[in-house]
Amino acid sequence: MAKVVEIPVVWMQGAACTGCVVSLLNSLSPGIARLVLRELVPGKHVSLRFLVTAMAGQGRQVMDVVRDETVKDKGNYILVMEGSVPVGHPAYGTVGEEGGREIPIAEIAGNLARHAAAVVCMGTCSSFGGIPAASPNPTGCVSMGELLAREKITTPVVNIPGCPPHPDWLIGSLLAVAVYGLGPVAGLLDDLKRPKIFYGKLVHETCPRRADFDAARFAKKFGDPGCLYLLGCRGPASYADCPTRMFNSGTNWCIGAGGPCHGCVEPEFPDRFSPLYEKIDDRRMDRFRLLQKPATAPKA
Amino acid sequence: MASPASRSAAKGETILIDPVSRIEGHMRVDVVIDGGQVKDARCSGTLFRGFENILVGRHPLDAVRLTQRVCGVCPMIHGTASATCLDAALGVADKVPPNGRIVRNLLLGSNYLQSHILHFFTLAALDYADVAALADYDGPESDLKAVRAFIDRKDLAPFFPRYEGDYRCNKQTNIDLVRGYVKALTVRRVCHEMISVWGGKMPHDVAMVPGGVTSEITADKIAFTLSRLGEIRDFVE
Ligand code: SF4
Ligand code: SF4
Repeated sequence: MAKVVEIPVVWMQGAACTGCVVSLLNSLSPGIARLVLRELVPGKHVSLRFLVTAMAGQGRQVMDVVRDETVKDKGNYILVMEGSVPVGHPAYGTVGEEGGREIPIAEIAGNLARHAAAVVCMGTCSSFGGIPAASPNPTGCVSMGELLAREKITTPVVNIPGCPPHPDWLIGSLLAVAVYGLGPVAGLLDDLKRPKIFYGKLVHETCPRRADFDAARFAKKFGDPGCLYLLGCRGPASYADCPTRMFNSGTNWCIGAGGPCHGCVEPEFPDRFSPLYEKIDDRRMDRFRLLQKPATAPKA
Repeated sequence: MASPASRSAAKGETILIDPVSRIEGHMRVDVVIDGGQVKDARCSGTLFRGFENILVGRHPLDAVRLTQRVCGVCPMIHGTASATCLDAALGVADKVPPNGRIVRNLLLGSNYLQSHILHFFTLAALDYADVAALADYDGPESDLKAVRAFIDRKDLAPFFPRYEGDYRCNKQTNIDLVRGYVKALTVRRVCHEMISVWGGKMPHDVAMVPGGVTSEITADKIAFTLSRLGEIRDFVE
């Protein structure tokens, strides 16, 4: 049997709700059992070294795994970070204890990031701050990107925002890193470090209610048919392939259930998109591009 | 921060478990033992986010979305609590139409199923099931053969390290437990599909709103739900 290359993954949670892990468990192709037990592609297997939500060990034992990874697999493991990082006070979030001192999330996330091959920010909280960083940001949460900038850590970052993200967005990105390596993948990211294959188009561009938008057939109240623009839809400002990929094994997606897109993949979520059910307008939208005329006509 | 010794006045040896794994969230447990007896025990959550403070001053409708982010395992109960609060505050508690009530119950009930399967198998089972019992499995089942091949590769995360304690089930029971563990991974996902068809996506639905739900009721969604529920029922039974 040919040697199987292990891709060590350390999944650390900061100020999070575990929704990103649960979304990963929802993966259809590959199913989660296949992802954990079998090779992702021939010759490569994801080894989930650390994930508190699923791992058998406890306490000291699993903290030793964290310490060992940074030595044994230094520069080789992928850190998947779920949740933002509370820096307002060390006691707002801790994981494990060392010599009688509880370890702040910021410290453990920083150490893991410093020695990783890459940091994959799973979810809007770790990508941009998200829910815990929402005003008044009671615990002083920052995104992983911000933590890395403060600590002058230069490990490459890939952002997989979403609240929570589609499991394909994570697994597809991990696979791209495993097969092509980090260099080429870096070229496939947008200005917010999101893989363009998943975040390349506005929700509004592929939304099945787009014809209603164009014909000005707008839903006025919940449950009405038509475009949800007047009910606060952030599809015109949100880059993700939700309308075509759909969630939960392709069962449905937000607008499919009559709920407007809240723009959960964007740095504006939730604060700058609040109130969520109020119509967006140009004034409140700094990245609102589609309804604005281009400053200059594109060259032919 | 406080060391475990300063957390309890009881004398004796302290056992610390931090982090407690296979739960939602961050937790530690300090147990003080003296002469083979538990003298004191303390559980503490080790993450604070301040959700209540985040909600102050926001538009009330946003609460149904934001409060679900308290927990990605059980968002629907937070959403339901929030929506029913708003029903009462807006004076529409008695005006939720029967279909709205039924769809809300489907959303919440499916999450309940999901949480039970997740808790029993994905989280708790590894305290009882000995995955190592599959090391010499030579039967025909593809899931179990995959477990054996996994063990053969010798990179055993996330099933090891573990406490090498008292896995008292016999070999056949262990095989049954591991089969259930693997199968439950699929069945739990099916519970979420049942939520998604009415709620848009899971975790964190978009359909539950004060007054009812946003989603439309159609025959195909009813057929979808019944078929998914049947799969879950087959597994549970
Ligand atoms: S505004 Fe929203 S509902 Fe309307 S077409 Fe765009 S994405 Fe679809
Ligand atoms: S449709 Fe909008 S709110 Fe829904 S998952 Fe996609 S980006 Fe997030």
